[in-house]
Amino acid sequence: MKHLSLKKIATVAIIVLLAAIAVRLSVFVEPLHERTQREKKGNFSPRELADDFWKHRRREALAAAIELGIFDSLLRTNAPFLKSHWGRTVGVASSHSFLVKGSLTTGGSGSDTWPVAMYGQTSYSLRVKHIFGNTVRNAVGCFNVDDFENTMDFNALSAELNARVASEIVAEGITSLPRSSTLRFTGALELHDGATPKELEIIPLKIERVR
Amino acid sequence: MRSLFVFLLAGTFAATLPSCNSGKPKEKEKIAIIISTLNNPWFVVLGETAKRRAEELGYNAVLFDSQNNPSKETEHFDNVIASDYRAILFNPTDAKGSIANVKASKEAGIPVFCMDREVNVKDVAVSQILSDSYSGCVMLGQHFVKTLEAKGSFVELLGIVGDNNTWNRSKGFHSVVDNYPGLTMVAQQSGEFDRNKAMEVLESMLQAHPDIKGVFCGNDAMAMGAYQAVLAAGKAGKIVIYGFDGAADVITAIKEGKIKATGMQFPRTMAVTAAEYADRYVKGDRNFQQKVPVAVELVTRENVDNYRPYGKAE
Repeated sequence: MKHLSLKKIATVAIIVLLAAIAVRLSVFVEPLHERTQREKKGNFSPRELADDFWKHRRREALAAAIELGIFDSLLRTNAPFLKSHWGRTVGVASSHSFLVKGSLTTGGSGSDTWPVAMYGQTSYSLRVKHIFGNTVRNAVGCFNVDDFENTMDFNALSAELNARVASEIVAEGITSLPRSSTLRFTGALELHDGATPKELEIIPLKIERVR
Repeated sequence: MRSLFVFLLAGTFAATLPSCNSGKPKEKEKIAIIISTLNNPWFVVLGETAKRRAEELGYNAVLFDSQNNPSKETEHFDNVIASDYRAILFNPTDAKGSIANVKASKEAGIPVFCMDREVNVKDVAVSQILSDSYSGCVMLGQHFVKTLEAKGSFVELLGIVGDNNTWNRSKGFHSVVDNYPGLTMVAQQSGEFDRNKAMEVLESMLQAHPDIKGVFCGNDAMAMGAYQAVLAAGKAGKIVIYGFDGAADVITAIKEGKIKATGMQFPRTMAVTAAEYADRYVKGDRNFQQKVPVAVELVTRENVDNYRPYGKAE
């Protein structure tokens, strides 16, 4: 009697297992987040992402900027503190990106940069021509490399952000101002590891004419 | 009957327990290192550094050469998946074509850590440790513009077209250079990251465009091939050549003024990071950054003494 029970149990177990396999194979289960990611993958647009940042997140991101004089002071007296509190890096980096703000008087003609200030041995200038690199993308702190399918997409975003700076801030903003205008700017700066540099360039992300 | 069953069960269980007195040492776990090609010294450094670090961490590490052949790479993956490896440190042959291999490995429960080159999805490899080629080539582009004083014609030798590094480097370079209308690219062709191929390609380019002022090469092997072509054409010293990697022969060539500049990658950093990530994973850690860009540094005649091949001077 016991022997028959064991056999019956084994038979039922096998039937249940086969039924479960059949049911599982007849249904396709895809986690929602994977489906969403799959759909997003085919639709990546660096232009749209840059647009979204420019219109909706730029103001808030730029609020984190540090005054240029304080930046320089900390750079000379406590660079590790400056980097840990205000600097941003991506991956294993040999540089930090920062958001800084300051003032300058317009006037330079033809050159790629306009002088902003000289502190100690370091001169700071504002880039007003040919915007390139990843400084803007890295400094604003709004984009995570892990959110992109590949690094080409991540870098394509930089190109779009730079294009915005070139057209809206530089061409339509800065270079159209009369000479000797005073303006306040907020911009992105990249600081490479090592000795304090002699020149640092700031890429403008916002400008406001004071007079 | 019941007693017999319990006895047999206990016996089976006991037989599976490791014996304290067997005297047989526990076998080391295995890590596979699958490299796109060992025909290029840069990749030899990448592979051997990864192997050495994995062995220091207590694993048996085996190096596989895909010979730049996606089919060969798939064979290696099939072999590794069937052979109880705990992790794979991987340098893909193709950003799209290699996805299937990484996926198969993931499904088999073997974590993959990409080194230097990525695959074009972010949910198959555990982590991808890559050079920031784009930023490196932005620096090279700025130096190129300054050297040529923003005027003249030049050519570009691209790498393997299926490798994202090729396009990150080219786009980084062009993001700078294309802003200067005085600089004109008159030809662009793939040298496949290969020295001999690059030499052949540039020889043809020089016949069609004998007055070029510069050559931008997507890696150092091609830069050395380009130098050979320029030398053979009697134009050494008249055409500036740029590379990317930080290879031994180019470091020497920069000191000698034969090559203008390169972007120093850090294959040892990438390889050690990948091996250590694999070890952490085997020990239970699951918290990894999906993409880890590693900075590239500009090497010119002015600062070349700060560097040695494939890294910084000690």
